[in-house]
Amino acid sequence: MGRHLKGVVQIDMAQGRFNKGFIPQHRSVRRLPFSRWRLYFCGCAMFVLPYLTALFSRNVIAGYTWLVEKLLCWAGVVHDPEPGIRIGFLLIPSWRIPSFNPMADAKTAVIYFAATVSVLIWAIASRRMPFPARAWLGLGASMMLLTELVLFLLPVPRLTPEGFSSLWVQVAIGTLILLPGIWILFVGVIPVRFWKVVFWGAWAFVVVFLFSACRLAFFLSFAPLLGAVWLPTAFILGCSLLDILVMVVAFSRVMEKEGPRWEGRL
Amino acid sequence: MSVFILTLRIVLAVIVFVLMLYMIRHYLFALVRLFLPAREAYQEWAGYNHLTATVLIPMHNEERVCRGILEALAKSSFDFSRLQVIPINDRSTDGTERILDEFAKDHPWCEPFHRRSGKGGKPAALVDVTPRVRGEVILIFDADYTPGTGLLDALVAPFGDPEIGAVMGRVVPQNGSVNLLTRILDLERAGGYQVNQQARWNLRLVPQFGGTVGGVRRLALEAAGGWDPNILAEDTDLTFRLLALGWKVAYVNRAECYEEVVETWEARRKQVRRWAIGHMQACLRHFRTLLRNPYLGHLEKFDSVLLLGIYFVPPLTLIGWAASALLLLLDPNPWITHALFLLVVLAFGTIGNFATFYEIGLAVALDGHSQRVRLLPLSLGGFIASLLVVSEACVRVIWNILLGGKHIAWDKTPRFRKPS
Repeated sequence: MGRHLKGVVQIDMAQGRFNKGFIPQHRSVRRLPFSRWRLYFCGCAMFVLPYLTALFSRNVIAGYTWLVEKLLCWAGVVHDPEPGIRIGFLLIPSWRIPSFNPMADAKTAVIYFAATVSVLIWAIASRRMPFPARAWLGLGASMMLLTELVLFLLPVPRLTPEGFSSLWVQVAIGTLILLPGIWILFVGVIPVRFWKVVFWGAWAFVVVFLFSACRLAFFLSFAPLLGAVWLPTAFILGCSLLDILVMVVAFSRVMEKEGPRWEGRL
Repeated sequence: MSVFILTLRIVLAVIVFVLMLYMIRHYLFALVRLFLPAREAYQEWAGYNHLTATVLIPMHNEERVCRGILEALAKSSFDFSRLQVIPINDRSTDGTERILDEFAKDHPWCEPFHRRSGKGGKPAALVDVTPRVRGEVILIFDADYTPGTGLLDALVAPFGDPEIGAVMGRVVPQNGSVNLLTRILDLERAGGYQVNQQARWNLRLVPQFGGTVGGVRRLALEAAGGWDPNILAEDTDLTFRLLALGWKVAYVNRAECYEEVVETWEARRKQVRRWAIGHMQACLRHFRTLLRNPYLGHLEKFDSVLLLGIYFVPPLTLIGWAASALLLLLDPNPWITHALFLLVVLAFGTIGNFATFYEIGLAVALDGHSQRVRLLPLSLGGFIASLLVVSEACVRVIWNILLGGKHIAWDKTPRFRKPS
């Protein structure tokens, strides 16, 4: 009798009825109210927001350039601002920094190559190291090896610090242009108070902006020492993954705050 | 050089397209699970049909955990006159055999099967025990699982629908709080079951029979030709063989069963490697027949193709990264390179491996464990690790095909529970 009654009630709860004040909704059937208009709005905003960000991207680039300049000056790095390259209506800045290319000299090339191969073999063969550490080390060494080979085959590398800084700014601006659209697509559609969507989206935007500029200045400050081999590795493995991490952190904060409201109290 | 760059661009574009397909799929799954009502709640039929059931529990050196699952089954609400439980002692060299025999003395429904020789691995053990099965429904559990009181009823209930050939329940880690790895795996499981499997069921696509916390109709199993001992992922293989015969697979989100997830990275590496190799074997075997399957609609086929190909995504992602890196260093047209590069990175960040970050976040919140979502950023580490392991498994599978199908051994998952 008891089991039968409970079953009937749960079927009704799965249809969205009797979901308050009787038997708590089990997590397997819990769901959230659906707002068609919110979905439409966020669907449209997904396309409009990147367009708006692109319109203001000159200001974003100007702020970015100013911040990197200040950081380089503060760190005492000798640099020379380049005129930059023009992509459409955007002027992408770059910075010239005297740097070191170990592949240009046979002796340092062999040392670098041997060291990288050793690290790669160590990462693959070592059983004592935790697997995630081996994975990161292996990926980093592979990227460095690839860079060394390309630098060896192409004596005039494309990825000088000027080129590197320009590429980094491009990716940072590209990320910042796309970020609001992706954010509204993923977080805007779920029943979260809209001011929180805006607040945490803006937080992610500002943090990516500041974080990206600081990282660029940080790596450029090491360019004279590390030069063309380390910069692409940092670029591939460090740059964009960390930007995504910022978005994931913001998303998890929203879920942490909003989740408890979803337990039948919306 | 220009031909090489063009090739790289094409490769990258294709990979980005594939990743985007997966991203859209997972996004839709998350929204469907979040907003739409569940389909037929089969768990509400629990206890209303009278099918007989046989529980199979493959065990290889499981002295730490084997008594736990049997004691949990002894508390089941299932009618024991319709139940047969066969713990399969698969060539154990520890105290498993003694524990099983002792338990069977007091519980007549427990009929241990001692397998002392033969090929190793769960599929081979299942093949050997099948002639002893008497139940109309075969339920399978791994030895480290702890089924709840009503679980057997909930898993047998969907078989009241004559279309259903296999049923899958939800796996919930019970040792999630042990260390960082178990916490990350807890998140992955939540995303994979609470959102992904349930959304596939809601959308009338193909939930996957996972080989444990699930069951298969004996009639369907016999029609499909029984278990295949030559494949590592007998569950995926069986899912697609059943689909080829027109059977449906049901997912019961309420049928929760507690498991022990691995607690070391090395054990995790071996586990993922085994799953990946098995899944790829199943993909290569069933891809063509799936496309010609007359019982599946276009959407079901499309989703099944994506499901079968899921373990090829990590090596594709790695190739995409390598292509991006090369284009970054070689391509004179940076804007195209970076648009593609950015897409790859975004797609990767969105997709995750087995459950997306988005799915995990929503699943954890739906489960009412919102504070666990703080760990979500750390799952990036687990993703990178899985990416490399699955890629290595892919190389192994291709190598095996080229060398003429050398047998790949079954890696036993170690147990971490303290002996009772």
